[in-house]
Amino acid sequence: MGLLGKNLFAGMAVTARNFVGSYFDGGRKERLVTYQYPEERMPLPENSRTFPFLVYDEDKDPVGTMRCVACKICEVECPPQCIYIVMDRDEKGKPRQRPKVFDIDISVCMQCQICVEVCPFEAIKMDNDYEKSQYGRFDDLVEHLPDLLKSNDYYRQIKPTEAGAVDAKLKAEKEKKAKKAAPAVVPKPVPAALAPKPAAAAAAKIAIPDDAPFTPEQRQWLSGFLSALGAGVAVPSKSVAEASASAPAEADASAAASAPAAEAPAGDWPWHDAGMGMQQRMDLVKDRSFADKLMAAMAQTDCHACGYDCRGYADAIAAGSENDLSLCLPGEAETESMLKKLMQEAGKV
Amino acid sequence: MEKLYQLLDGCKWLANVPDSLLSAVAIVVPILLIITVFPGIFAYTTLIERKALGRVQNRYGPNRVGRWGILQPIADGVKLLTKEDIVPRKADKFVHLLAPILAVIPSLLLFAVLPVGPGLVPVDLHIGILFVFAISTASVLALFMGGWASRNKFSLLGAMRAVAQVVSYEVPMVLAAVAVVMAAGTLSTVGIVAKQSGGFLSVTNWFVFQPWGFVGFVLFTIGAMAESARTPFDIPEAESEIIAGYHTEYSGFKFALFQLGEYLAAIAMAGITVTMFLGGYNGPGVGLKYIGPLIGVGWFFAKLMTIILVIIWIRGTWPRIRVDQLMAFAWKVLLPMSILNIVAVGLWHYMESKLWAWLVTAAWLLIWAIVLTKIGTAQNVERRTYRYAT
Repeated sequence: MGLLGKNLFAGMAVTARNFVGSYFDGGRKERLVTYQYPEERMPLPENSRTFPFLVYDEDKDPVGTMRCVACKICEVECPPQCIYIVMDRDEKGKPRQRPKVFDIDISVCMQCQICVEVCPFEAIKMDNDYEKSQYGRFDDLVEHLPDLLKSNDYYRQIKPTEAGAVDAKLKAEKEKKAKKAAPAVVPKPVPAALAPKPAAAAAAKIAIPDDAPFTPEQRQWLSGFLSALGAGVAVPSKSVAEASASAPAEADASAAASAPAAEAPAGDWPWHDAGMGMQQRMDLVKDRSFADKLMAAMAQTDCHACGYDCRGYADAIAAGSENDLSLCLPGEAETESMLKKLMQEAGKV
Repeated sequence: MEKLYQLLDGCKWLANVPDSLLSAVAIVVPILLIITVFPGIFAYTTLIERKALGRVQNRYGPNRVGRWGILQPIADGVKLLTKEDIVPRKADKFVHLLAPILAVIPSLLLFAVLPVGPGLVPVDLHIGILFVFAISTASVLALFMGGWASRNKFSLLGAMRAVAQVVSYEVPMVLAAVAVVMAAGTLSTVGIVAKQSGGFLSVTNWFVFQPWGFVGFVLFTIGAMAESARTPFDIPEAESEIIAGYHTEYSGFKFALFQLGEYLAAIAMAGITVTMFLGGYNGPGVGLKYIGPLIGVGWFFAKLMTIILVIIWIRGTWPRIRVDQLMAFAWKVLLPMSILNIVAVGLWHYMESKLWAWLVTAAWLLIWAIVLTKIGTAQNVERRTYRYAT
């Protein structure tokens, strides 16, 4: 049994130590843990993110050197649909392959980073600027192209590791493209056969078994979903898959054996879904017309980078009025090689 | 007041001014000083309190308005003045308005008998201590009016708690003061301070250095804290239980007036404590010529602020006590102790040898303190059984 009120005075000793200690350097850091916000800021972790911004390469010409080609993949993929893109066109109506309007409504954006993950051009990245307060509730919270454009230097500054990886990847792609452009005579299937195909392998692995209890619609949706998942897992393989001329053929064969093509009513295009992988799309058009097959090889974003929508480009190629097979920007080399393969199969080269 | 009048009357260059005007000046000047200095202390006490509580709880206090938040009280005042004044529709509007005013006036009146320096007392009443208790008890009326007129359950609960608490703690407080009055032989605050002057460095004669004085000081401080509803005894406005107690339904400047009244009462009570137990303005250097009174004023305010800081410190540390504990403590510990303290003063007065008197009264009070705290805080509660617990 201690003295009455002993603990009351012990408590007062604790508070006295807190009070006095907070005025001396030794105890100050330990006791006064509050960050005095506008003056002091907590260091942000490198992976912290708030809202997306658009990357450009050179300060002299932000609009000209921005990486975005207005392919609208992010607009399609954005879960809360906060992105709005209008393609820039010249006087003749030919696309300039960059956005005229690029709006992100940050009151709707949920900072999920899906736009960053789906962008094939490394054009959209997550910012870490969290001071976005505005006085207006509607228009002020919509960020337009000039607000969204930020330099690659800024990106390197806020996320050094990630930006370094992106820079290295873009450089490698550029070199590859330069190499490809110079000796155009080198036959493609040779390197393709040697290269591993993680994407194709993944797609084949996740095909749905025949006896699985699904209706055709469910099966179709599910296969699209799974292939998107597979593509997500195998993101780095995109550059490897560039010259994968023979890969789709193999996958076609295996997929055809395991999953029969879904019956699609005439006039609608179940493969017209940017979330679907190339294998799935090609599976869906196995028994369809040549133009449909061509269309299924497109990126399905209707981005008009080629000057048509996906249907129109396919029809133009099929009709012979369009000879250039490299116009599909979002589809990248995958689409181009698939188109070439289809043309070869049809004997139209 | 009289002294000021005499001073003015004695001035040759004021000889042509009529006496009535001089006496009016002599009345108005101390009043002006009281209603400017002490509310000023109140304003900065709130700042000091918030900063000190912040440091105690490992955070910065207010530090945005001016350097070190020095303009914070002004910002608070502006904010409270511009706030909407809301009166409940069913409230008794007149009493609702009257309550905050009545809360401030008694608190201001208390300063009338406070000797802040040698010869510096607004009114030297012969019955100073009696005046203090008569006035300070009146403030409970304001609290009850506020609680009753608001027509709000929480306000009424807070008001009832305030009445019960203030009335209970008034008793040991007055009895603790009686001991001082007995020892000093006077009810006048000036007389009490004069009794504590002299001694080594003008310190050793303070009543707090005698056993009965120390006990009286503790009793009186506890009573004063309870009466001004400071933290361990803040059940009339316990935020976690009854929102804000009797001033739940007050906003804007009426709320500010309640706060003002409460803090002024606390400051005045600290001042009375200083006067009765801590030697008032007495301290080293107070006997010096010319600057002596100034040093005295300095000592008075230094002691006053020390007591306020300790009260703030206690607020930052101790938890609020329960209603039953509050009442048990007042009636079972403080009241008997204050009566026994009066006996101790009697012994002190009639014993010739002060050394023996010191020892005897100290032993007497110590024994009783231990016995009473043991009895008074014993928990005679049956062990709780949980019927539905497995």
